[in-house]
Amino acid sequence: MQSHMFLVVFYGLTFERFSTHTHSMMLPRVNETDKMDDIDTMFSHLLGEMDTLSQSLMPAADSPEVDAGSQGNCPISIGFSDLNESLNEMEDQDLDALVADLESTSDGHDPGDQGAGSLAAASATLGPAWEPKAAATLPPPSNSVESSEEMVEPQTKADRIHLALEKLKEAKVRKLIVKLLMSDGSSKTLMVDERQTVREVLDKLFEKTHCDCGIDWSLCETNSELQIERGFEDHEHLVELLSAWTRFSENKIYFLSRPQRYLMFTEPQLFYMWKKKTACLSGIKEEAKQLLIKEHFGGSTVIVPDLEGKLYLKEDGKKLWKPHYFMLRASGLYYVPKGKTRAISDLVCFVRFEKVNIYTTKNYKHKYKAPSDFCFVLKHPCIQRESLYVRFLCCDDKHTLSLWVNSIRIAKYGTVLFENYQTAVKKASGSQPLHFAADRYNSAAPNPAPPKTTNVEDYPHEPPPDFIPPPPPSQNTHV
Amino acid sequence: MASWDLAVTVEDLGSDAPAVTLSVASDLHVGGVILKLVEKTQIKRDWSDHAIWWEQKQQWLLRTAWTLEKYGIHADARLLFMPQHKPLKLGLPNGKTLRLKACFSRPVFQTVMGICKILDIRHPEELSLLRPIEEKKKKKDKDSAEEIYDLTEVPLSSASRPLLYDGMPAHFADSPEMEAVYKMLSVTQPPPAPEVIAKQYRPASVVDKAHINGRWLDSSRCLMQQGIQENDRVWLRFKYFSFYDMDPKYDVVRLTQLYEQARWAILLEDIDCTEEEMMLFGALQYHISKVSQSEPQMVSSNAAMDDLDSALQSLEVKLEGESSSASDMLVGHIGLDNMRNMISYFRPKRLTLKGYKQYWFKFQDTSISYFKSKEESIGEPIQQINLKGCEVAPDVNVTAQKFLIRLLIPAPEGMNEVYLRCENEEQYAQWMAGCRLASKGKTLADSSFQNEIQSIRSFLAMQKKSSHGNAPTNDESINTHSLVSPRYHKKYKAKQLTPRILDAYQNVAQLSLTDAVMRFLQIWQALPDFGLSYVVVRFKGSRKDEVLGIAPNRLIRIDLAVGDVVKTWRYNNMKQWNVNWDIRQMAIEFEGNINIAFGCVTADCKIVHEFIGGYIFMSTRSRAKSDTLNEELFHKLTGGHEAL
Repeated sequence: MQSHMFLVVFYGLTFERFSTHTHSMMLPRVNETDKMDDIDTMFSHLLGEMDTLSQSLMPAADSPEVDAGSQGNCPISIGFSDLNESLNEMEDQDLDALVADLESTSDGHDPGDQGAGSLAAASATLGPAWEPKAAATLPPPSNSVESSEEMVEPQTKADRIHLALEKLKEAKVRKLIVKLLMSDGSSKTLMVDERQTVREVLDKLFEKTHCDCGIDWSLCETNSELQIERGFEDHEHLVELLSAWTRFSENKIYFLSRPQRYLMFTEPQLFYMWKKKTACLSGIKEEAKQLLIKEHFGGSTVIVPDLEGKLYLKEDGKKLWKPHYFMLRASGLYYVPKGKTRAISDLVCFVRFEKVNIYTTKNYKHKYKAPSDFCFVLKHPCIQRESLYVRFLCCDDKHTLSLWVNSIRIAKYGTVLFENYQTAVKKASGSQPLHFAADRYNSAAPNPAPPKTTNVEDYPHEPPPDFIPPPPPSQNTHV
Repeated sequence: MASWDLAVTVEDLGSDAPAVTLSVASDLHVGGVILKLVEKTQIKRDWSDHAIWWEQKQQWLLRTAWTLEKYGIHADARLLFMPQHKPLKLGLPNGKTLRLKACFSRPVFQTVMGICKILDIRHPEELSLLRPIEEKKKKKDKDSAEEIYDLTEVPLSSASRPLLYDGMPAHFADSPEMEAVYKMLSVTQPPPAPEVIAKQYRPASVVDKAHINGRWLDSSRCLMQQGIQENDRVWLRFKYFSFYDMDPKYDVVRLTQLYEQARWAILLEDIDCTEEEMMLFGALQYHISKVSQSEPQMVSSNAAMDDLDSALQSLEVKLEGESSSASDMLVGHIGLDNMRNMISYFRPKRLTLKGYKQYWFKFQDTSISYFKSKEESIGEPIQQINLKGCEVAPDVNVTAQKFLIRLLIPAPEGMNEVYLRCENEEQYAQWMAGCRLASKGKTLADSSFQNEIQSIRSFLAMQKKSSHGNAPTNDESINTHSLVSPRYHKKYKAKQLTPRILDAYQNVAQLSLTDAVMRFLQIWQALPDFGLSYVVVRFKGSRKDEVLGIAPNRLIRIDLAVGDVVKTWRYNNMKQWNVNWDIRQMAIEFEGNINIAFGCVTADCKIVHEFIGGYIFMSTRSRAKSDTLNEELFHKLTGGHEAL
């Protein structure tokens, strides 16, 4: 199989279905009640919006080839033209699963729809997809849509208009059909719309796979050309992430358990006391860990681990790795390009994190003659091939790599990462009664932390210390 | 019991007046002495704030029920009858001086509580007073007539919390002068002139930074006991870098003064930051000063405003469902019409020799397309470039009329570098604003578009002014040297700094005043050295001076030879600490049988003791108890001999 992910964009097509329908529904109503000024206004707004919508759709529907080929930064067009091809290529069971998925997800806001209506809606969505060009000009298979619509039967005209606007908004939503690989070699196919976060997709997968819902489950993208991978963060939007991929991309998405995913919260001492020997960190108490989390994530500012040390940097375009002194700060990754002093004025900003993601690598000793296989890569998510804009760094050992990768994630995502973790913990503990799933993190996980407010500590506060010094020390208390 | 003569000087009679002599017996209590004294002076006034100060013992006789015998007062005692609250010149974090009545008889901890109540600063436990650094007196010091804001008229009704009127304490509404004082307290100061920054003392090393901490007053003793006289000058500063429950709604003055302290810490290199960070701090300062000029106050919303806010919000929600999407589209059209221009385009790698070529450019959503000419713009563009996620950098020189927009556009193969050359300022401002919004995934229809254009224009104006050499600076323009530390005054000309700060500015230009101040404080707090107060110490058994850094959660040991942190001890591992007041030494015991002991060189060991105990105290604060300050616990943790 050429591609492991099908990118299907229902952009214009779903819109077409709804807009045509809206026309037929709206026009008579408005004629009947022309005294209702507000309805009139709304209607003209609606028309205006539909005009703009169809305008904005033109370039996407017209010439996807040109853009995708030359620039590759028009995500809307990706995989659009060979939709037929990709759907045909789908194996039978995938297609079945997809249809089933569409049944369950379409019209989530209409619970009354679940019976025959949902099937109809699903087929309506797929209907135009099979023949995109035709659907753009012809009315959609109206019977099925109409029937599902009638079941809802809005109460008032205003409601109807509201609903119509909702549908219009819905129509603008991009959707992708995504094939996810499981760790056991099997796969699952899902439809994902652009509003869905990775967390929501994970939750969906939890339902489908009956896994233990532990905090380590994640979606992970791989890029075989660069031999890199990255676990998506739970707050990211999957469709947006995937739109960075090129046509015929060899990239894959895995659904798997990554045991170090939230290491900074399960073992915060590794990051915030990294200078201490690992031996004396192993015995650290749970309360001490909680205190570390509170100190570094509980305030209004996330405190980034004060990581610094030697890393190997791959010289531009050469298979040559040079050691430099690097330092992590909240504002970015810094290094000392030349010279040996580490004064603040010698630090040069190597990269800031707003526009780059961090990836781990595979087999770089072989691929790029790296000093070790413990490398990481910083690059803009759109870049898919080797280029001067991809930064390669190499650590001495596995532990150092984990320190840098996870600390950079803290610097990049800040509070969001902590919120993701808390949600994941909640999810994992919430599923406890259903799945026996010996969740090995439950012991390590904090008591489900209350939703974090911005800058007030909501944590159970520590009692006043009992090691108050004896106040009147005119006698010698010196030890 | 035999009676004897007791002489008491009454301050209110004037310094030349002889002491009032009373005939007393040793079993007379202090209250009785005061009563006799007041009767004898025959002055009718409110004496309730007055008390007796015993000069030889450096002690207030505040327990009025105690007898003279119990206090051990004999006829030779030099007693002074005077008010407990006296005027004090207070240097604020923003550099302004305030004159107000402070308590000279209670522990400084309470004095600060009183000051903070007048100034409307919550959580006074985080602040304290310190002796100012002596300013280098020049022979002709013309600045000596500095402006002093006067608050001495504020009544000492500390019992009742000041009522809120328009978000400010009622006593600030009494007169226009008082309102001006509140404005000074609650509105950020304009950026200081570069010369003012350069003139200030700047610590050059960690040892220098340690010296300031020797100046903190003892929280357990009163001002009089520490040699502070009426009308003396002290500084009010945030001492413990653990800011509890910061809420812009209730903390207008607190937030403003904290920002000022942080800003000066950055400008005077009291805390290290990188060049990138300095530019961002500069951009935020610029933005804050600009916004605070247009928004006269950091208005804390009162109840009426809240109502209005929520009313507006619900109105918005209502509109959202009905027509907002449609109106967005309309705005979008207006934007689009404006954004079609002839622009020169340059791709350095492919067309190095050819240079710039003119094309007809069109902005649409987050993409720009270009065409050979306006006539062909109906058809296929030569290329369409989506700017979402791209990097936008300015390359502008107003005097040379160079208006370049540098775009780094991500693509699967790497980044494409593209330059757009605009004809004039106006075109540049529009297209730059459009590119910036598009890079964040926003379209021209976004409400921030006009603001973005405006901020670019004002920045261009700034560059224009700074390039005019020594033209007199008016209030409107800001010298970029005012926004960065003196190190960068030497490194860059003001003109060179402008684009760098502008670059950082684009990420903060949309922030509200409060958000910008909060962002400044957040970035400050995220600096690696944030919250460290240094003291030079001598560890037991060591022959050289080392530096102890005291942070909200840990102690660090800095080896001056290595110049780096060699050891970290966290408070949560601390079992106990002891102070040997005789040899001025501190001993701390940590879990795992770790014991350290050191003598303090640049600060009294009471100061170090108070810092550590203070931070332990700060960590015990919790929301449930935040209304009342547990003063007793503070003194228990920080006191020494004279602990309550």
